[in-house]
Amino acid sequence: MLDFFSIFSKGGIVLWCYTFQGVKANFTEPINALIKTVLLQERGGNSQFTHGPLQMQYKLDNEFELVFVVGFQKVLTLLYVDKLITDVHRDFRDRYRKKLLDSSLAWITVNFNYDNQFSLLRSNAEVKESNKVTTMRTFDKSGKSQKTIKSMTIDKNKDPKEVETKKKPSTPKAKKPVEVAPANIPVEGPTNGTTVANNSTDMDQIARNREAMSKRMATGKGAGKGKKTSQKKGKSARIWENGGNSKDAEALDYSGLQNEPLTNGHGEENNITDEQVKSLQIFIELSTCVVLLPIQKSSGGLFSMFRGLVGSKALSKEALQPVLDSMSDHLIGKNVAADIAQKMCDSVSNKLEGKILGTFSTIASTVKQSLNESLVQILTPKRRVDILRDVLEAQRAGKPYVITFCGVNGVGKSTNLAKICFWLMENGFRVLIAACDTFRAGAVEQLRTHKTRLHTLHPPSMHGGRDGVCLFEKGYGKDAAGIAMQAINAAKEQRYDVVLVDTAGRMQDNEPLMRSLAKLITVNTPDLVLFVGEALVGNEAVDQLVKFNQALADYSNSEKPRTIDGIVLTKFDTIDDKVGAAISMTYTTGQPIVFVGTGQSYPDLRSLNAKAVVHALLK
Amino acid sequence: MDRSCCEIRLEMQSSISFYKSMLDSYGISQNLIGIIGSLILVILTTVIWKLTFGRSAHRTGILLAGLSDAGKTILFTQLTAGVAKETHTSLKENEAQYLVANNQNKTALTVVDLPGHDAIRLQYLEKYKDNARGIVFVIDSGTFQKSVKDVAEFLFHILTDKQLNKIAPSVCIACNKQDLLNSKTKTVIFNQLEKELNTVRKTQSAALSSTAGGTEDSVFLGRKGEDFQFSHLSKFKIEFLECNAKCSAVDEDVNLNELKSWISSLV
Repeated sequence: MLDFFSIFSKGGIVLWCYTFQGVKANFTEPINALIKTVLLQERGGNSQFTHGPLQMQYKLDNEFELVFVVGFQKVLTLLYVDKLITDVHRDFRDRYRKKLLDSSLAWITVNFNYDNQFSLLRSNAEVKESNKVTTMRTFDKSGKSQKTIKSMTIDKNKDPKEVETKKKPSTPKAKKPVEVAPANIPVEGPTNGTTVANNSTDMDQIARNREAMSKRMATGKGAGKGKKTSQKKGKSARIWENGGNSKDAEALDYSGLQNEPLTNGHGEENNITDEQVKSLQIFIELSTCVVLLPIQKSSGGLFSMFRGLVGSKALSKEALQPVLDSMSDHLIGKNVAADIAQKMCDSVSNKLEGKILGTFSTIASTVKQSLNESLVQILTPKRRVDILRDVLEAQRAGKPYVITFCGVNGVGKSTNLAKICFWLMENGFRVLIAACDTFRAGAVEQLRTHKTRLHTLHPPSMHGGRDGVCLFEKGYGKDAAGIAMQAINAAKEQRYDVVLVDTAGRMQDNEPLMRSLAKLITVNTPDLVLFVGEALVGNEAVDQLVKFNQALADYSNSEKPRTIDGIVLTKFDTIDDKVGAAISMTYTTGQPIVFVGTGQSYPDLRSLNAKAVVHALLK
Repeated sequence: MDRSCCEIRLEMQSSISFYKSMLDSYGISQNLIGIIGSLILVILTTVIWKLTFGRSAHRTGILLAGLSDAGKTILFTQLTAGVAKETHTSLKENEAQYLVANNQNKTALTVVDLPGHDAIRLQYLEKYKDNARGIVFVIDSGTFQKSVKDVAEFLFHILTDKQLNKIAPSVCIACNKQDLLNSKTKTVIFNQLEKELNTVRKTQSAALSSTAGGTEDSVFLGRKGEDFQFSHLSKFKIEFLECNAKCSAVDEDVNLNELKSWISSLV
C-alpha cells in the first residue's frame, strides 16, 4: 500500500529506502519538495504534506539528526501510517543506536539492512488495522429493536415532544434523527464555505434552523449533537475549568461600572466604590485560579531546571512548552500575527523534541537560538533578488521590465513607486510610470507631480537627450488593464527600460475589484508582482496576503496563475522594534521582502537586513 | 644617597660622549644609529606578527559550497568514504575527516559539506568560514547555462566577504557532473563566470543599503575601472577544475583526481 519509505540524515544522505514492488518512480523529487516546502520554510508543525497524487508523512529524530518519510497515494486513506512511523522510528533508533553514535561517517559506511524488519513492522501494522474493523451488530443488539413502531412514525399534526417510547435514552435519538439531520446539513453547509444547492425553500430551512437552535439553547450544550450523546450514555458534559456558564453571569457582570463618566484624569478624582472593589476581588480570584493551576502542575520545575543544566538530558515536549509559550507571547508582543507565532513555535518544538542538550546549555537558550535560526531562515530570500540584474537582462532582450504594485488602501503604493523610480533612474534606466489607479481622486495628479520632480532631478541630458521618466495616463474611470497594456506597448516602442504600474488600493474582500486586479495581471503578465504592505499592520497581514494570492489564483484563467512575487514593506520608520509584520508577510507567502520604505522622500528606500530584524525581534 | 643626581648625570654624559667618539671613529653618524635601530625593531615586530596571526596552518577546514543540487553531498561521500550514496536536499552540514597522504606524513583535514539551499546557505557559511583553509565551490556543469546568475551571485558573495578576504583561503571552482552529456567544460564556465561577475559587481554595488544602516563596506572585487578578471584576484588563488562524483555512463569512471590533487596541494 505504501509507495515508499525513506530514512535519511538531515545532512541529506539516504540511510535506507524502501520502494513498493510495483512502483518504479524515483522519489527524490517529492522528497526534495517536502524538504524545501515544509522543513525549510518552518511549516513543520503539521507532519503531513501533499505533492500531486502523493501524500507524505514525516517524522524528525532530533537526537540522531534523522528524517523518516513515508509516502502513499492520497486516495488511499491509510490509518496505520502514524503508528507505523513511530514504531519504525523507535525500532531503527534502538537497533542502530550504537553504530550511529560510533563514528561521524556512520551514515555513509554502515549498511543498514532494515528490509526484513521493516516488512515485519509493516505487516504488523496492517494486520492490526484490519483487525480494528468491527463486525456488524445483530438486530437484537441494536437500538432500533428497542423502540416501538409508534415512536418512529412522524405525525405532522402532533407535537413531537408528546411522542412516547419504550426507553428514555433513545427518545432524543428517535426524535432527533429525522429533524436534526436535515437541520444539520443546511447549518453545516455554509460553514464549509461551499454553496449547497438546497431543494427545499429557504424559509423552511430558516424555520428548522431556528428550532434546532432553540432546542440546543434550552437543553444545554450536550443536546445539540443529540444523536451522539444518547448513544454513549456514560459521557457527561465537559466542564471547562476557566470557562463560565450563564450562572456566573451575575458575578462577572461589570456593567454597573459603565455608568461612571469618563474622565481624562484632570477632572474630579475617581472614587472606587464598593461594587468595584467586590468585582475586582472576584476578578483577581479568577485570574489567580488561572495562574495557579499551571504552577501546581509543574511543581518539580525548580529542580528540573538544575537537572537540565548538568548532564545529557533529552528535551521533551512538556519541557519545551512553557518556554515556547513565552516566546510565542513575546513574538506576538512584537506585532507578529498570532497564528504565525504559534506555527513557528510548533515548528521549533518539532525540531527540538528529543534533542540532547549540551552540559551547560539551558532549555531557554537552546530554544532561543533555534528560534533565531528559524526566523533568519524565513526572512532570507529563497531565490535571487537582484532587480537591477533582471532589468539589465530585459534591456538586453529589448523589452521593458514590468513591475506591478498592488495592495490595500493607503499603504504607500504611489509613494514607494516614486522612490523605486528614483532609484532606477539613479542607475541609468529610463522609467515609464503607468497610472492605472483610475479611481482615487488625485491619483494621476500625484504621479504627475512626482514625474515633474524627478524630471528636475534627472534632466534629459543625463539619459542621452531622452526623457528619464514619463507618465502614461488616460484620466479617470477607464479600465486599468487596458491602460497597462497600452503603457507597456508604448514603453516598448519608445525604448523605456522599466514600466512601473500603479494600481488602486482595494480591500481583499472586495470581489469585483480583486477580479479586475487579477485580470490586469493575467492580461499583462508583468515580470514582477509586488504586494505593498505597511509595517504597522498586525494580524491583518495574513488575511490580506492569503486573500490576494487566492484571488489572483482563482480569477485568472490560465494554468499557471501569477501570484505575488515579492513584498514591499512600507512605513518601516514608524515602528521602532515591533518588526513582526515582516515575519508574518514572508511566512504567509514564502516570497522575499524586496524593498523597505523608511520615509517619505526619495532616498528613503532600503533592502531588508534579516539578521538585524531578527535581532530586534528577539531583544 | 651616596651619589647625588648631578654625579649620575655627569657619569651618563661621559659614557655617551665616549660611545659617540667611538662611533665617530668608525665613520658612522648618530642619526644613522637611530634609523637602523628603528628599522630592526620594525622588522622584528613584523616577523613576530606574521608568525602569530598570519599562519593559516591552524585552519583545517575545506568547505564544499555551491548552489542546491550541485552535487556537494555526493562529493562529500566520495571524498570521505569513497562511495556515492543517494542523497536529498541537505538541511544541515556534513562534517568528516579527510586524510591527505603526502610523501612525508598524513595530515587530517576537515571536509565540511555546507547545505546549498538559498535560505540557509549563508548561515552555515558564517559558521564555518573562520576555519576555512580551502573552499571548493561546486558548480553543476549540466545546468550551468540556466543558473549562471545564481552561481555568480553566490560566488560574488564569497569573494567579497570581509572575513574571507582577511583569511584568504584557496578557492577552487569544481565544475561537477562532467559525466553528463551536456556539461560545459571549465574554460567555457571560466569565461561565462568572468562576464557575469563583471555585471554582478556593477549591480551589487548599486544595490540599496540595508535597513541596519549599511555600515559594512564590502570589498571591491578586482580592480576599479577595469573589467573583472579572475587574474585580478591575487589573494584567493582561484583554480578551475573538472570532476564528476557519479557515473551515468557505463564506461565512465568517477573522476576526482584533479580535486584530490588540489586538496593535497593545500597541505
